[in-house]
Amino acid sequence: MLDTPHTVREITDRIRGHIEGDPLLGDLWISGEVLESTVSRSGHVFFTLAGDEAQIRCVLFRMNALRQRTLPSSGAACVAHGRVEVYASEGTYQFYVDLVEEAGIGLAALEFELLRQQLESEGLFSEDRKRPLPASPGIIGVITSESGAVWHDIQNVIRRRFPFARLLLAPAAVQGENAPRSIHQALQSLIIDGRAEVIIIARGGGSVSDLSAFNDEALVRAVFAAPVPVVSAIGHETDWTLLDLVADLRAPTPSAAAELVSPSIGTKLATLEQSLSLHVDRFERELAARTMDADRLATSLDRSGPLALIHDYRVHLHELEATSSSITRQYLEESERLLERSRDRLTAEARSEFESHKERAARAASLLQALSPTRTLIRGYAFVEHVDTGLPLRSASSAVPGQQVRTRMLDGSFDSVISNVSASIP
Amino acid sequence: MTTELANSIALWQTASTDGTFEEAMSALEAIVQLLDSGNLTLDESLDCFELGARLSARCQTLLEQAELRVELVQRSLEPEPDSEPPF
Repeated sequence: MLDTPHTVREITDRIRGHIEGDPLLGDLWISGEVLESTVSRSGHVFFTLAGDEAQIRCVLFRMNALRQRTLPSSGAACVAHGRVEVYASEGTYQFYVDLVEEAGIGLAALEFELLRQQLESEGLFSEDRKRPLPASPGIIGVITSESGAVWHDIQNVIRRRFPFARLLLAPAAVQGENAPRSIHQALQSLIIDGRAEVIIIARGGGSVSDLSAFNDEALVRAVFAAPVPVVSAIGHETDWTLLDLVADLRAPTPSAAAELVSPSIGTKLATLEQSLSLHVDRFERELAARTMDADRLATSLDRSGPLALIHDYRVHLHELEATSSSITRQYLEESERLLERSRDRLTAEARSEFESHKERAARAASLLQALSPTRTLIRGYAFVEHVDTGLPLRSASSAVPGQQVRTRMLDGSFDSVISNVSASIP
Repeated sequence: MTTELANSIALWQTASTDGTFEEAMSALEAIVQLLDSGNLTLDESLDCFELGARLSARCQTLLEQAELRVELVQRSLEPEPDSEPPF
C-alpha cells in the first residue's frame, strides 16, 4: 500500500526530533580543523569543522563570540562545545557553538572554562556584587583543615592583630574527592550558625589538580549565596579557581586572608595616640600665649586697678610694721636690762647661800663617811639587795627562794637566785 | 561647654572606665576628631585631651588582657548528595 507522501516539514520535524532527542547531541565537544571562518556583519561567526573526510557546519552567535578568548581562524585545530540542531529552512544540521578553544587543552580545562563562562554570564563574578569586609569583625568563620599549618597561621595572625575576635572553625577536608562536599557543608554550618560576620575559606599550597574542589559549581553557587562576605585563600598566586572569582575578596595566602579580615588595632591605636599627642604642642603654644596676655593685663592693672591700691596698702603696712618693731625693740631692750640687773642680784645672793650649803655639805659628807657601808665593804663584807625593788635584804627570814638578789661588794656586784633558805636559831 | 559636648564627655568617661575595647577606641577616635577640628575652648580641649589619654590607656590595658577565643562549629548538616546540582 502506497503511503501518503510526507511533507518536507513533517520529515524535517522528524529528523529534528531524532537529533534533539539525543542527549549527546545536546551537549558535546567536537574537535577538528577550522575551515572557512567568517564573521558576519551582525557579529556572528560561521565556520566549518573538518576531519577524517567529514565536515560539520558551525555557528558561534555574537553573544557567545564576545566571550571567547580567541575566535576560530581558518586552518587552526580547535575544540568546540555546543549542541547540534536542525536548521530547517536550509535543510541542514548545524553545530551551535558556545565555546571554542585551541586544541591541545585538556578536557578538564575546557570544562572549567565552560563553567567559568557560564557563571560569569550569570553575574556570579561581577565586581558590582563584591561586598566590603566588616571593619572590625567580632566573629570570623574559618573553613579549613583542622590539622595543618593553615589553621595555626590564621590563628596567629588574628591573635597578633585583633585578639578580641572570636574564631569559628568549621573543619573541612580541603583535598581529595570529598573536598567539595565537605567544604560546602562547612559553609552551610557556618551560615546556619549565623554568627560569623565574614568567612575565610583557606587551604595551603598544593598541586593544581588538588584545586578542583574549589571549582565545584555547587560550592561556587553556595559562596555566591552566602549572606556574609567570603574571602578565598586557596594558596595559589597564579591559578585562579572559580571560588577565587566568586569570593568577595581573594587573598594570596591564608595568612594574608587573616590580615585582610582583621584590622590592625595596634597600628590604629598608635595612630590615634600620635594624633592625640600632637595636641600637646598646641596646648603649650596656647598656654604660652595666654600667659603673655595675662602678664600684660597684670601690668596694666598694676598701674591703675585694684593692684595699685593693694600696693599702697602694702607700703602703709610696711611703715606700720617698721614703727611697731621699733617700739617692740625698745621694750625688749628695757626688759633685757631689767633681767640683767635681776640676774646679777640673784647671783650674788645665790653665791652666799651656796657657800653656806657647801660648808654644810662637807660636814654631812664626813658624817656620811663614818656611816658609809663602803668601809664595811673594804673589809670584805657584802650586802644583799632585792634586784626588783633595790631594797636591802636585811634578814634570812625575808629571803624567798627563787627571788633574784644582787650582792654588792667593793669592786662591783653580782646577781643570784635564792635557792635554799635556812634561818639560824638565835 | 555645650550640653551636647557635656553629654559626649560623660559617655566617653564611662567608656574610659567600663567600656569595651571598641567603645574606648571609638570614643578615642571621636575625641581626636574633635581636637583636630579645633572648635573647642582651651579648657574643653584639655578636658578632652585628658580623657583621650585615659581612653588610650584603657585600650592598652584591654589589649594586653585580650585572648583570642576559638570555637569549633559542629557540622549541622547531614550529607545530602542528591541535593547538589550536577557538575
